[in-house]
Amino acid sequence: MAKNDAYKKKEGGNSQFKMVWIKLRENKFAMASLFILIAVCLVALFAPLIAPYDYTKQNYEEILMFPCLKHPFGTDQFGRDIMSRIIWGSRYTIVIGVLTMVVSGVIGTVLGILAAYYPKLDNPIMRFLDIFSSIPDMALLMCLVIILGTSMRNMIIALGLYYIPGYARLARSKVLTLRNEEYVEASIALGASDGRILMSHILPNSLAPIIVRFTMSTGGCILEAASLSYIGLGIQPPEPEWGLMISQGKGFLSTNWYYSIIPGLCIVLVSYCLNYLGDGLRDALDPRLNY
Amino acid sequence: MDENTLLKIDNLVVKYFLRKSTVEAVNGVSFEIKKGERVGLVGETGAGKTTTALSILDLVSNPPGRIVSGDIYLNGENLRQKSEKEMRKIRGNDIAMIFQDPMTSLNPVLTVGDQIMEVVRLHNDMTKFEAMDKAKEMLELVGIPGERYLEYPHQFSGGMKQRVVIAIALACNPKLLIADEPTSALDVTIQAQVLDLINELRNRLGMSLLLITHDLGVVAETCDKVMIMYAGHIVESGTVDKVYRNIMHPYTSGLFNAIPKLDEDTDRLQPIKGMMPDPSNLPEGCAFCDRCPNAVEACKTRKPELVQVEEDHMVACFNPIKKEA
Amino acid sequence: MLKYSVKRLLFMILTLFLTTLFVFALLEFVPGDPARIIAGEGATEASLAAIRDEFQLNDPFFVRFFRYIGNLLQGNLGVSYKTRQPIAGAIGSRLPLTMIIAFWGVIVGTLLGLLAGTVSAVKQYSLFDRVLTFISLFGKSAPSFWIAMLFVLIFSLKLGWLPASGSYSFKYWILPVATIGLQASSGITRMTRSSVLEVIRQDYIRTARAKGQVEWVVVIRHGLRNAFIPILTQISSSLCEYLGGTVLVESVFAIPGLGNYVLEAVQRQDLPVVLSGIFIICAMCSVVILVTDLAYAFIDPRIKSTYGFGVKKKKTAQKEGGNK
Repeated sequence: MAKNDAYKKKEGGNSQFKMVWIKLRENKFAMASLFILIAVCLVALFAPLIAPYDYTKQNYEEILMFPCLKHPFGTDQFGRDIMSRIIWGSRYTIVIGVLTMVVSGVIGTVLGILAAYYPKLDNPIMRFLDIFSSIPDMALLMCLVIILGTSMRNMIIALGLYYIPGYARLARSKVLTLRNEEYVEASIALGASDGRILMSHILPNSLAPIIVRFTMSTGGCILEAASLSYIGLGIQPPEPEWGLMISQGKGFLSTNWYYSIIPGLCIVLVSYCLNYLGDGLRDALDPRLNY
Repeated sequence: MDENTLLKIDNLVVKYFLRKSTVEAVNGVSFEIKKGERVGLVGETGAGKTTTALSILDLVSNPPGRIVSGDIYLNGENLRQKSEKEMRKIRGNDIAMIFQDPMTSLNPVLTVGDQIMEVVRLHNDMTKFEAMDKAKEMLELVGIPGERYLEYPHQFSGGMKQRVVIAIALACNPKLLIADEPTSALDVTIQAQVLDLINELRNRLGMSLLLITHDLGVVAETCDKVMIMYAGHIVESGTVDKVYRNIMHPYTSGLFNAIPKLDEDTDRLQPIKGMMPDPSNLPEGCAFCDRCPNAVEACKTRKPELVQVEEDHMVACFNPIKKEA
Repeated sequence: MLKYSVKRLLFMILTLFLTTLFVFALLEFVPGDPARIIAGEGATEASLAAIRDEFQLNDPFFVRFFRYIGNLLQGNLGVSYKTRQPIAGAIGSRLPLTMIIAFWGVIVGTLLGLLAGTVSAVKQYSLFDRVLTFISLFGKSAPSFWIAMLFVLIFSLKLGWLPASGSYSFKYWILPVATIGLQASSGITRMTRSSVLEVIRQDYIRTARAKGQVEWVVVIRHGLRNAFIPILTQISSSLCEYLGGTVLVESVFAIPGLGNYVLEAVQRQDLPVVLSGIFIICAMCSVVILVTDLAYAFIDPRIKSTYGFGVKKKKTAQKEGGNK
């Protein structure tokens, strides 16, 4: 019977996705968030086509203009159109968020699986990661940046390193729990190799929390990236990263509030959507919530 | 209403309103419990026994459950017309209820003494010390050394936890004790101990007992009256003597046949074929029709009512089992 | 109980030691020559060599490390490359500012979070719940410095009620604390809500109601007390997060706290300041975690008695404190 269960889990894979999709569809907030996120990705992708102005073009005749028809989000102290800068800036947000998560997700999950499968590696890996994560986020990031330097690639590396322990712990605990499930025991009894068990049984069943974590952490990652840029340790001017724009607008808060506030609103929007989507995914993937 | 009647349930209907469906848990249940009487409520899981019991104390989770119609009388007073505040005075005080799983019925972060004291102080004007004494007294009553009132639930075994639960329930000397499968989660040997305890205390304190169980043997030992419940209806009721000696409803008969007998030599157990219908999708007519060996045409379209077939024995069936003369 | 506390204390010291070693080692990889950083541009080889002697930069790694540890134990946090002044003094004057913001922020956040989360859980799916979820996600989705600037914009610049920067009196603390409070409360609200939701479905809640107990007492005395452990974990991790992360809020409000100090040091490549600054932050976090671990034992009698009987289960208590 256990073998049939394993079979079902593989074969039922497609209908499981469908079920999750249907449940997710019911969650209006999550669906709205998904659409907004897709829209943001499209904006980032087609930035050169959408942005009305060149984001580097300085125009001293139009500095610090309030939002108007010509410049819907106003202009900064160099006369650059803020809307175009925001559109181009979305690229940083998306790329940094996704790449960091992919890098840290893959490496972290691999580490976690290794730690779970090879008890000799378990202690050293987990202790090391414990020490890593006992340093609060900003402090660690500042430390990494001072070593690596400030560029987008380095920021992705630094953020990636920061998020690895989370994924590793998740993967490890999932593997340890699932390894004791009966269908895995059955597979081992049938002679399945470690790799096969991993791919067929453990990974599919661990996917749910990993996906949720992926979505939620991307939100956090975008905030960390913006924070780093804000304090000058991330993307450097004149690049239009949203966090950097907030910092540049700080001096004009009393006169041109839109300069700092609007990029922040964009960050909030993306982050909100990721969080709502993550929440919705978590509920949709939870088999207990079948009310 | 008869002076001797403590509790009277009249045509109780309880439903759970879920997002996609409505579960008809209790469908027109009526019965009485006299003062000092011990009544057993028997049925499979999902028959509606717990919901019936919870309804008495208005503890049905709302949402999604709701008492749709029916009346519940305690000593002549209609409980359904009482305010929440008045119901709180009755819970734990006039009517007490104990639940199935003792492992999770006690609050893990409070001492057992505290938990007994809580119910005592809710319904009596006592100082903390008087309540403490009462708590110790109740522990002794259920067979636990009184000094242990400072201990936490996790320091007790399953059987002892259930004793604590009983102590809490009886602390205010209720007129009715509702016990919802109090021994189902316990080992067989402990089961016997706990049942003995319930019996003994009932004899001593004289309260009525509504014992919910799926175990016919327990009912035989402990109860005066028995009610068999199926899909939210009572299908047979009467004194234990009458019902057990003259089983009339096919479902009851099936239940008895399913019990493995020590004195018979059989190869296979005799379960009742089929499964209980989905309570959110009950059939027209008798709910037992599909599984019933005695089914007749009428069963498919009309629901049978409880009718008296002899003294102290009622059955809801169009074609009950006739006893061989 | 005492044995447990001592064991945890020793463990904390060990972890702190290893963390310091880790950061020390990490900082070895900073590109550039420390001597040149100290001396500035255009320094001669001779002066560089002199600096290397003065700061003992040529000694092997572990010698320098243990010298640092030795100094730490005597309260000497090193000397800044740039100012050549003792770091301990600078940190001493800046630390209280950071601590005020972080602690008060988390306290405000906790109070708000407990209240909002409990009400949200009890009235699940109601309008209140949905609105509150929306608001609490705001705290989590918005960057702290942006929230701070928004507060400054509204309360300082537009309404003129509160000052925009500085730290001279109580009035000046309201906005920074409010910023952290709002952010912290979002995490705590969510954790409270989910924890209370889980607890409220437990059987002992039903038992308490069956006793005739008043609903709000059931929720607080029976519900919240059991739900509190995961909430405490969240509070503790929030506190650690903000102890290390006040740099963002400090920069908006121009508060010369520890975070700002470390940031400036990072920008100037002033390694001893970075090292000691991070050490102090980690030390504070360690203390917070230690106190939290001990608090678990007080709140949950199951953990208390586990250690009373001398059974050692270190990590279990930390990681599984929330399970029954």
